[in-house]
Amino acid sequence: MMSYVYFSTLRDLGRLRRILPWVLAILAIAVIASLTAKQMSGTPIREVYGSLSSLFIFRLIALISSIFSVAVVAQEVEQKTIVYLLTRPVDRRVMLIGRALASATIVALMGSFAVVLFRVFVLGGTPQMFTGIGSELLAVNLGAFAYAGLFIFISLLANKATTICLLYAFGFETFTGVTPGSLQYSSIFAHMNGIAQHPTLSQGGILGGLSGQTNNNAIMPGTAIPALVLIGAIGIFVASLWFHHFEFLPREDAE
Amino acid sequence: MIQFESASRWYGQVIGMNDITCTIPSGVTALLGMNGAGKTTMLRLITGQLRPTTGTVLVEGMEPFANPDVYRLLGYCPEIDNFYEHMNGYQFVTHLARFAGYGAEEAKSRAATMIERVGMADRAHKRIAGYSKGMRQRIKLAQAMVHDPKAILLDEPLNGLDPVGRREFMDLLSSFAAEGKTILVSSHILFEVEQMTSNIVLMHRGRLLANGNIRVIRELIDRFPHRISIGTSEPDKVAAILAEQPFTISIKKTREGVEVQTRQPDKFYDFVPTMAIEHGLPISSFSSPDNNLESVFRYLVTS
Repeated sequence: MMSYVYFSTLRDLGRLRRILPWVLAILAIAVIASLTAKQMSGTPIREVYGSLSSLFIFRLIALISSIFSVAVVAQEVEQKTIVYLLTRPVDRRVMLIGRALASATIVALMGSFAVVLFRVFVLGGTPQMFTGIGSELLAVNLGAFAYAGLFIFISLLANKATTICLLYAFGFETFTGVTPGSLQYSSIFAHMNGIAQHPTLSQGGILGGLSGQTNNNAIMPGTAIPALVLIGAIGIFVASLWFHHFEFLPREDAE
Repeated sequence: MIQFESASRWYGQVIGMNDITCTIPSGVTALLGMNGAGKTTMLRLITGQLRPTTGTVLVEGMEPFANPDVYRLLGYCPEIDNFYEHMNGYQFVTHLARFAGYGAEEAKSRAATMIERVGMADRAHKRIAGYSKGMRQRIKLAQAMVHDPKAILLDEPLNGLDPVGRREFMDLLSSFAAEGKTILVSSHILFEVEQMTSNIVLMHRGRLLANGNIRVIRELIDRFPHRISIGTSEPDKVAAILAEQPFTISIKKTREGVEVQTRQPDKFYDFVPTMAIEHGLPISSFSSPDNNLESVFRYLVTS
C-alpha cells in the first residue's frame, strides 16, 4: 500500500501544472546567476558559483519544500478532500509517510535539476563544471528530505504553515547564517552548506552573508549528513504519529 | 452493525452530539434533523473522522477512529462537493479503489462496474471539474461502493438534485438495500426520506429525539394534538356531534368542512365512519395534514 500511496502522490505532485512554474523559476534564476557570475569576473568562478548555489538553489529548496509539504495533508484539509483519504482502509501512518516521501522526492528532483542547470549556466565550458557536483547533489537531496520532515510536521500543527515555514527558512536560517556560535546547528540550510563544502567567497559582502558563508564555524559533512537524515526521518515519523492520533477536519467545519 | 452508547461529541464549548444511545440496523435508515442537528457529526463519528468526547461508537464491535478494518466495512459519501478536480470520474473511483487494496486491474474493473451501476458510464471519462451536481453525487456514491462495503453512509445525498435525479438516486439506494447493505442516509428534507424508509433516527440540537419505525414514533406523538380535516357539506352538524366526544380537543370550521384536534387519533378514526352512517352525514373527504414525516418531526421538535 505504501508504494501505491507514494507513486500516486508522486504523480499528483508531479503534474505539469504544478511543477512548470517551478521549472520556469529555476530557469530564470539560473539566467540571473549566470549574469551575476559574469559581473563578478574578477573573483574565482568556484567561489562565485558556491555562493550563488547556496543563495539560490538551497533557498529554492526551502521555498519549494514549504509549498509541497503543505500539499501532503494541510492542502487536502483546506480543499476538504482529506475525507477521501481518511475513510479508506489505509493506515494513516502509511498514508502520511508515503505522501511525505513523495513530496520530498519531487523537491529533491527539482533541486537536482536546479544544480545541473546552474552548473551549465554558470560553470558551463569551464574545467570546474563537475567539481563537487556529488556533494552538492547530496546536500540538495538530504536538504529536501530534512525540510520535508520539518515542514510537514509544522503543517499538521499550524494553520498558516507555509508562512511559518518561510519564516523559518528565510528569517531564522538567514539569521543563524551570520550569527557566531552554535545556533547554526538548528539550521537545515547550514547543514546543506556543510555537506556541499562550497569554497568560501573571499570577498564576503552581502552575497557571502546571504549565502551563509560568514559564519566561520562551518559544519562538517560528517556531522551534517546524519543530522539532515535524522531531521527528515524524525520529522516524518513524528508527523505520521501525529496524523494517526489526531482529528483532521476541514477547518471551517472544525471551527 | 453500528452502535452508539452514551456517545457525545463537543467542539470546545459547542455541543455537536449529546448522549446518544442507539443502534443502526441493516436496511435503510434515515438520519433526520435540521441543519446543525448533529447528523454530520454522527456520520463522522461512525466513519472515524472524529472521536466521541464521551461514550463509545462501535462498528461491528470495533472503534472506528483511524481503524482501517472498519473502513473496509464502510462506504462514505460525504456532503462536500470537493474532488480531485483534475481527474475524471473513472480515475477518481479507480484511485480510491486502489486505496482499498485492489491491484490496478481489479480496481479498474470494479470502478467501471460501479460507475456503470450509478449510471455514469457515458460521462466517466470527462473531467470532474465539468460535472453537474447530480453527476458528482453519483460519482461520490460510486467511490463509496467500489470496495463492496457492508454499510453505506450518505450525508445529504439528495441535496441539489432535480426531482428526476432524486427519484433515480433513491431507486439506486433501494437496490443497494435489497442486497442486504446497511444504508444510513442523512437529510433535513423529510418527504424525501419518507419515500425511502420507515426507519428513522431523529435528531435535534445534538440530541436523539426518536429512533425506530415511523409507526412507533407516531405513537410517541399521539399525546400531542393531532389535526384531522373532514370535508363535508354539513359542518355544523358534524362539529356538534364531534364536540360531544371525549377525545375531541377543539373544532374549527374550514372552507371544506371542519378541522378537529384530538389526542386519540385511533379512536377518532374509528368513530368517524360510525358517525357518518348513524347520522347520515355526507363526508366527501377525510385527511390529516399531520399524517407525514414532516409533522412527526415538527411535533417532536416542538415538544
